Amino acid sequence: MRINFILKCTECGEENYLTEKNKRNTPDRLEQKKYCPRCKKTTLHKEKTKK
Amino acid sequence: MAKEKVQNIGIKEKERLFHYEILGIVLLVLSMLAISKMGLVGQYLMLITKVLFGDWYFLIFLLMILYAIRCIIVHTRLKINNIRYLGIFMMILSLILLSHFSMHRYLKSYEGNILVTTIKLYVNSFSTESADSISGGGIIGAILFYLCYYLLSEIGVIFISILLFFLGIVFICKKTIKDFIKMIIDFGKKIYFSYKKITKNLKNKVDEYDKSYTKTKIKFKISKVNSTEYYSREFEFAKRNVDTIKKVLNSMNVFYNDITYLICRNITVYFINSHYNFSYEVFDRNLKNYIHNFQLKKDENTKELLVEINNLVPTPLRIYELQNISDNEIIFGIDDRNELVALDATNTRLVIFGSNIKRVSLYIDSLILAMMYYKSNIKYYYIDLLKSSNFATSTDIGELDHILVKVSERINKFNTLNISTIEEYNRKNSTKISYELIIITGCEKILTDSKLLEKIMYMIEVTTTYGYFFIFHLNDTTLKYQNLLNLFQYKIFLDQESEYSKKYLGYQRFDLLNHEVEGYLLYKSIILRMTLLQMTESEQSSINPKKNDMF
Repeated sequence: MRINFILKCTECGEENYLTEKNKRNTPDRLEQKKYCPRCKKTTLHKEKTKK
Repeated sequence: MAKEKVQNIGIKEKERLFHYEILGIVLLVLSMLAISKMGLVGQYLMLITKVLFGDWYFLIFLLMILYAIRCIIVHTRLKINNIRYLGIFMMILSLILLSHFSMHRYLKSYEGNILVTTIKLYVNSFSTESADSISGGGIIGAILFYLCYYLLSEIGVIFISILLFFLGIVFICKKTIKDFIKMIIDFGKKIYFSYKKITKNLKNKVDEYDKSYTKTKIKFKISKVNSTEYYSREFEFAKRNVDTIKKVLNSMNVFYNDITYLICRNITVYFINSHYNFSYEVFDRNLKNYIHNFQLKKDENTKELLVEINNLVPTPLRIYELQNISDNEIIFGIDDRNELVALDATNTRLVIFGSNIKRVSLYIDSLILAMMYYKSNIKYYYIDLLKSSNFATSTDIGELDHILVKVSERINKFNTLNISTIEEYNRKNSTKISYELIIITGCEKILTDSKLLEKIMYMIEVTTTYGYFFIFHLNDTTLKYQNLLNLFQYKIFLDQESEYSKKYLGYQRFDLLNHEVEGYLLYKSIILRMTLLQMTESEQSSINPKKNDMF
């Protein structure tokens, strides 16, 4: 069961990535270190919460 | 001066041609690079186009390639006012709009302005060069989508997309909507009629194929048999023979307890019960002085001496005498103890050895006629390679494939239901299946094909309890088909011509047999003299096949 979600930069709050995950394999909120074009460096990105 | 002007115009036109060709080649190379994502140029071109147009970005490159080819070939400017281009544009627009639904579905569950978030994501994916994360209709698709979405909601977007797509097709075909609908209806009709035509042809072919297997309705007349007179005559003859045997035994000074006799169809069997041991050879020699057509046998169980003397008038077993045939047996004769011999659930296979084609055909026809007369439910397939039967369903070995298909269908049916016998199937199911009889005459013509032989052997071995009877006729002088023949429980030898008769029967006296109505039957290791079931001449002449379905 794959779902799509937005990865949000934890430093500047910019929504940078649209990605997907398997909800059964990773039920927790995903956290990844990715490049933020606004901060111009690799920062921790967290899965954006849905309304 | 005028001449120089003309020259200048010519040079300019040539230069323009070059411009088009260069443009065409450049566009072609760029689109190729972008599609294959080659190099920095290719990657960025693809990325830009994907950000702008979304999932269907390759359509832009496809159009670019087409335009490039046009530039190289035609060397003229594209007239945009052509309605067909508008049609292509509309179709692409509708595709982009529809494709943005995927992106919209992901983002609508988040808070905030969806359009802004979408554009931000597209821009960020461009700056992070993550082309794979881009989906939907791109920035252009997103703007158009949300324009329609805010105005007309989701249904409105779908409606506009379909409308655009439909109009695009109409414009490309250069037809009015009325003509276009008419064209679609005509096309649909054309497909429908061609489909109907094909199915009709196919049905006709299947019908023709099936017709070749439909059995013909056959009219016939069975004559009644009055056996009282026959038996009274044979009874008198038997009495006389008993006296003769007694006379011979007395002359040999042999004491006997009793001499009984049994009048059969072609022979009368005399049972001599004696406690004394005496020379059978001498008895045989002495009896030959009075009677010629006889044979001595010894019953190992009762220790009786048997004298089989040929009757005055040999009589075949007639159809009328059978009285009844059940749906799971095929009576094919009567043995030398007046017992009917039949194919049944345990003994399902019979092979006939005989060189006289007419006799073999008459015999098999008699078996079928008996089944028809007593309205047996056994269905039969008769491949008559001898081509001399009234009841043959086919004279071509090709029908064997049809039979094999039917047999494998039954095997599969039984296997899927996990049923091992036809009786079990008929007990458990309301729709009962009938026994089937497979007859092949002149087998020696086909058994040389080793693959076919394997097929037949497989069919015989697998279907032991599946409700199939097999009657094969073989007129072969070689001993090649031992493996196949071992599968047959009953073997009838009508004459001595076959090598098999010497092999199986040894030195049985064929000269004693009445060849019109008799044969030797081998069952396991027992050899019996058997009277064949045979129709009368009047019955034979009464058979009148009509081309109708029999069942």
